This record gives sequence, C-alpha cells and structure tokens, in this order.
Amino acid sequence: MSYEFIIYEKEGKIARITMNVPKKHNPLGKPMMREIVAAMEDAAEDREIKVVVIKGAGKSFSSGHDIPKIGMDIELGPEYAGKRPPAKLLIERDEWLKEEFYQYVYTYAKPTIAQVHGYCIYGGNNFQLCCDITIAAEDSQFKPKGDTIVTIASYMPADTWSTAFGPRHLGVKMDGKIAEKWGIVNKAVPLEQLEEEVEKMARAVALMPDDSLNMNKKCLNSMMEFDGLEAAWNTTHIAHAMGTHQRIRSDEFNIFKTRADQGASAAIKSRQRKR
Amino acid sequence: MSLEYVTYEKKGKTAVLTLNRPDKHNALNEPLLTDFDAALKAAEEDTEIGVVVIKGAGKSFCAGYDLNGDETSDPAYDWRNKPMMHDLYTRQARRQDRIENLAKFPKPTIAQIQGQCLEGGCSIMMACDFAYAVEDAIFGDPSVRMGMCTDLPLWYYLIGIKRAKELLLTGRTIDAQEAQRIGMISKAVSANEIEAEVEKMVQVLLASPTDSLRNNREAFHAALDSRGLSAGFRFAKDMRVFSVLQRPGSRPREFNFFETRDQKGFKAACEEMNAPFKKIGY
Repeated sequence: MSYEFIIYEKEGKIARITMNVPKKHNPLGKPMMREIVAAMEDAAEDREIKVVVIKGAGKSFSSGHDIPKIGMDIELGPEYAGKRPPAKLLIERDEWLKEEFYQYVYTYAKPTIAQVHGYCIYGGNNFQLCCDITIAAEDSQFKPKGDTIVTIASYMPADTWSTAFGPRHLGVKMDGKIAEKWGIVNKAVPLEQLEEEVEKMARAVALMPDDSLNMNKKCLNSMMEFDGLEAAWNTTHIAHAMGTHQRIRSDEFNIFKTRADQGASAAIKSRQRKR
Repeated sequence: MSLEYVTYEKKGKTAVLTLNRPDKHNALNEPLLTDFDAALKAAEEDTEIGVVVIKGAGKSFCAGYDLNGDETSDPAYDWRNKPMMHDLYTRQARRQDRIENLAKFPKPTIAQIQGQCLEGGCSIMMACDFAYAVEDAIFGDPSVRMGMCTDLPLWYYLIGIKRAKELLLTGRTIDAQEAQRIGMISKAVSANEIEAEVEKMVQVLLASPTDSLRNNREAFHAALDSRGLSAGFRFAKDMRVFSVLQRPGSRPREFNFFETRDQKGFKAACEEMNAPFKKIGY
C-alpha cells in the first residue's frame, strides 16, 4: 500500500510511522489519521514486529488537528462554513476521533513509542499521550510557544491520564523538560540524542517476551478504565463541543476575530505577542 | 512474639517487622509470608502500636517471590509443574489480598529500603504509606522479562501511566533517586541517614492523633477504591494467573527462564535473561 501522508518502514522487529506533511508541522487531518491506523494494522498483523515508533517529519511531531480551523470544522460540509455547527455534529466528530483514532492507538495490542520534537500540541499531544512511552527533545513544545491563553476546552481526557493535577497545567509553559517532570513524557533529551534514545528504548522493548508486553499493557490500560477513562472521554466531548459557544468580551483577546481578519498565523503570533 | 522468617520487635509504640531470609535477599515464600501475616496481625491487634515499620535483614529489602527452584520456592508458580488453575487462583488471591490489605492497613506504615526492592518486594514497599531508601537501592519488576504480568495496580496509581508502562514494558530497574523523582518512594537518603529519617517520620506520625490519622487515611483509601483500585487488584490477579498459565518462554526464539534455570542455576538464568538488555543500557 502506498501512503500519501505518512512514511511507513519496517526494520527487524521495529516498525516506524513518520507523519509526513512537514510544511504544516504534520497536522492530523482525517486522511493522515486513516493512514496511521492502516499502517498500525499492518504492523499488528506482522508477526515479526514487536514495537511501533511514531514520529514526525520536519521540524515537529504534530501541530494537532488543523489549527486554522479551530472553532469550525470543514469536514462537516460546506454548508456549515463560517457557521457554528450544531452540537450533535461536533460530538459525532469527537466520537469519530475517539473511536477511529485515539482509542485505536491507546488500546493497540503492541507497544508504541512516540518520538517527539518541535511542536507536539493539541491533537499532537493527545496522540503522544495515547502512545505507551514517549521520549521528547528537551526543547519540544507541548503548548504553542508563549501560549498561556486557553481556547477551546481541551478535547482530551488523555490529559487527565497524566495530569492528576487537573487545571494547574493551564497557562503553564510546557517544554520537554517540564513535561518530563510532570510525567507527560517519560524522558527529555537533547535533540541530537533523540533518535538514539528512541532506538535504544525500542530495542529494549523488542527484547521482551510477546505475552509479557501484551498482558502488562492490557493490565495497565485496564487500570485507567477502572479509573473512569471511558466516562472521561464522554465528558470531554461535551466540554469540547461547548467550546464553540465561547464568547469573547470586547476587552479580551479574540483569536477568532484576529484569525478572521488577519489569517491563522497572524492570530497565533499575535496571541503570543500579547504576553 | 517469635517467628522464624520475620522478626517482630516492639519499640515503644512502633512495631518493626524485619523480613528475615537475608541469605536469599529475603525472597518471599510460603513460610516467610505466613510469618509476615502473623506479624502484621500482631501489630494491628496491639492497641499500643501506632506505627509499623517494615525492613529487610541483610543486603536487601526483598528480591521478590522465591523462584530459586529448590524446595523453598512455590511449586504452583513453576511452569514445569503445569499448575491447576484452581490452585493458582487460590494462591494468587492470598498474595493479592496480603498486598491490598497492607495498602489499606489501619495503621500508618513505613518501608525502609536498601539493596534489592523487586517484584513482590516492590509491591510491599508500594503498599506502604511511606518509603525511605538508601540511594543505591534498586526498584522494579524483572519478572516481566520472564513473561509474567504484574499483579499490582499500584504502579498506575503511584507513578502514572507513562512511567508504569515504561518500567513494565522493559523490565528496567531504577535507583532510589529516580524512584523519588517519579513519586515511587518518599525519599532517597544515604546509608547512615536512613535510620534517622525513618525515625523522624515515626515521631511525626506518633505525634498525630490516632483518630485523625485513621480518618484521613480511610478517606484516601475510599477515594482510591472509588477510582477503581479494588477492581484493579482483582483484574491484576487474573492477569497474573493467566500469564503464569501461559508458560511464556516456551515459544520458539524466546528466552525460557525456567529451562535455563534448571540447566544452569538461578543466578546464571537471571544473568542470561538480563544480558541483552544490559548491552543496550537497560
């Protein structure tokens, strides 16, 4: 199978999936996500493969689900362009994300290792949280640089997995080192050592007995389920859908208006300058 | 009280339980665990005791469940013996209950760690309220490298999903500094500071009103149960039994710990199992 949005390689016991739209920092649109899942299905069925490494081409891991379209979603069809979509469709979209992508990744039978550098924000951060183990470059960014302003309620109950500290992380700058401290990633290393660290980790995991990997992962995932993970997914769908109903007061920074007037990059940049 | 494999000392209001099979790094087997249960029961029932300290005699705290292969190991956990599922469930339930009861013990508990704190030993430590360790102590669950599934949900609750997965999907062991950093233990200290550090916490706890300690600790236990901890113990028990019944290592190209142990001895089997990991720094 040939891939348009990813590069898929297998080498010995390790499969590697590289998100490959580097000009846009590898945004996770539906076609990209479908290809990731297809590649993972191939790796799942290949008896040789013990572990899957996930990374991004170019400067970043992933900028998440199309940022220029925050607040709207063109996948809902052109008749909704510029209009606030009804809650039902927003929730359906989030349930698609959960069932067809995030849950697929996090319940995946084989171990996954995320290799993170550059931007790993929004959906990108969700994605790496769904992987079992993450190694990040020290200067990777888990929030957009300088961003201390919260927009849409985070989609992600995965945030609740590693952030038992709840809203305390809002507005906190989060680079690789801080993410390591908070347990959001396993290890932060200088960028030039990232490839080698991930390689070592993948090889260590590949040495483990098959059943042990399968069972220990299942056991730990079950702990999250007992802890209420499924319920948490559903509550965040609602919070996320509510996000389109946010109103910005005239004295508050309005990313939606700035984006409408000046375009997405300007909106993101000017949000940063406000700090 | 006089027990063979666990020393029980009453020091004022503190009960000090010392695992006592130092020539085997206090590896856990039925006789030791029976003594451990008796000692814990005595500490619980003695109304004068306010705090329990758990230690290990000799070089290590506890290397885990005894897999030596001689008569002191538990045959049900030996894959050569094709155990009855019924037997394994019964034995595992007792092991699980012991750890779960320790995690919910009515009096505060402190683990004092040196040397190896592995697998079942790591479970005992994690079930205690506090854990102080000498800096070069090592923690982890190497039995995952033999093909077994963990039987302890506390990995997730104490150190979070990312770190729990890293340790259990590689079988890596960590030192006390890293254990402190990730929240697995309270504090890493030098060998000559550890007694004083434990004693400090003993005094803090004894200075707190009994009801206050109990009230607060029960609140935490209740909260954890509502977050699924009991279900976690139950499920992990089943997973552990399943992983033993699977007889891992009997697959082609997989390292077979038990076969290697029978041919070359326990120590050699451990070394051979760990060698390829050591080579890449794990």
